[in-house]
Amino acid sequence: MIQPSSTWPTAATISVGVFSAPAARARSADIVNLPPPSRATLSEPEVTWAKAVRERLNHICALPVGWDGYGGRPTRFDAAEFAVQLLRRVCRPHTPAPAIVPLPSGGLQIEWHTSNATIELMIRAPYRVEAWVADPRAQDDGTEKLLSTDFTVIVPWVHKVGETIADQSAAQR
Amino acid sequence: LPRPPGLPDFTDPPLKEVVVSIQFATPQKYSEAYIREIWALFESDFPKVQEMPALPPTFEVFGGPELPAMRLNFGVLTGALLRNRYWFLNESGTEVIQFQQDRFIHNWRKVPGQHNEYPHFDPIFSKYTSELEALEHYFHSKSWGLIVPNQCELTYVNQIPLTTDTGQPIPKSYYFRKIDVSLDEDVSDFALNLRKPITAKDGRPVGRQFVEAATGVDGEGNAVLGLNLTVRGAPAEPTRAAALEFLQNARQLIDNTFVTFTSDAAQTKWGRTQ
Repeated sequence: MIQPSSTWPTAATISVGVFSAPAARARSADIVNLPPPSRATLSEPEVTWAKAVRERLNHICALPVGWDGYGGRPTRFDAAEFAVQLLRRVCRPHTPAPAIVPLPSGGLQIEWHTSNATIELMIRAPYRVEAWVADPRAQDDGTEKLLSTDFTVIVPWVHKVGETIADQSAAQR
Repeated sequence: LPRPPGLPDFTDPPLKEVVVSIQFATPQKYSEAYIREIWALFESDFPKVQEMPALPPTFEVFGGPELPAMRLNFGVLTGALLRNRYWFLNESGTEVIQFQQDRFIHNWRKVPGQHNEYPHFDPIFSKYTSELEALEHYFHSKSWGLIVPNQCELTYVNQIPLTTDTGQPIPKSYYFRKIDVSLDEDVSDFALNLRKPITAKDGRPVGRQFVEAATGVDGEGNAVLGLNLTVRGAPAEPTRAAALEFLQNARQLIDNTFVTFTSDAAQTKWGRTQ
């Protein structure tokens, strides 16, 4: 489910609160929340890749042990959640959904492939990401980065791929 | 633990709750069957237990503008992945240890009728340090390896009355140093959320500071101003020592932010001593 962005962290507070609480904020039963105002606005951006990503992540987290025939583990819950946070920071609302591939170690890989660029983000664990971008037409090995918290460097890569795919789709129509 | 010099201090701060938390990689061999043994580590001081829904993992990530939140349906499709959270409570309910497969949390809270004064951060943190060490020893005894923290979080929950003892309303901007939420002096309610990146010494963003202020009511229905301050982020390295260092730095950030946001008059009211 796509929800409005919440600026307040997922808290582990337990006392009586005065704030309207997102579902994930578990507190004791005597919470006194102020209801948020009813809205009929239409301006919340639609994130077109969200459904496909959510379904794919749910699928690879539910894989049985040995899904690859060699004892591969299902994708770890924290790695999948980290992938979501990463995508929310590097994608635009209409970026094409990436391919998502489980890793036998419990991590996952996020991929986009176009005629002029390949991006691979290998998430071994939260904050352990190997990012690689290359132009399939070029003779070099592309660019590789080891990233943890800051993914600013790959934002233009992902935007460029998104634009390429959008252009290709427009040309086919 | 000694109190760091130069931090502001109060004799009667409006604190309702303090939350010290570390999120860590779930040990591969962890099973819910071990929860009784984990409770036993703390049972002498925390003799009560409650089951709660698990908190989902959280991460502070940086890049472009943030898109709307998206929750995965792990609970529906893969119920075994996110197990329960347990509260271990002390006899009076003023302190709670929360444990789940990837979180270890210590809460101190003010409980109505208990008259429990805020013990200040250092005793709370000292307890948490010992409890975390005990948990890591338990992990080691099970051959699960060391605790591998990936996120640390410290939250101060303040509740500030919006009426005097005689029932007279206190202006909503009275407590703020720079923020004026009075507008035409007829504002009944407001909510304010601020987020700020925090960086490592090399300038790399490692987490965020959150400031949330809003009007509301307390458990007795009295009008209050809520002021929550949180620092959350990744430790410099995935070790217990680095996580504890992050939390100590977070405490200094929160203390200094509190005095930056609140007015001198309010701080005098709360008994600022330094």
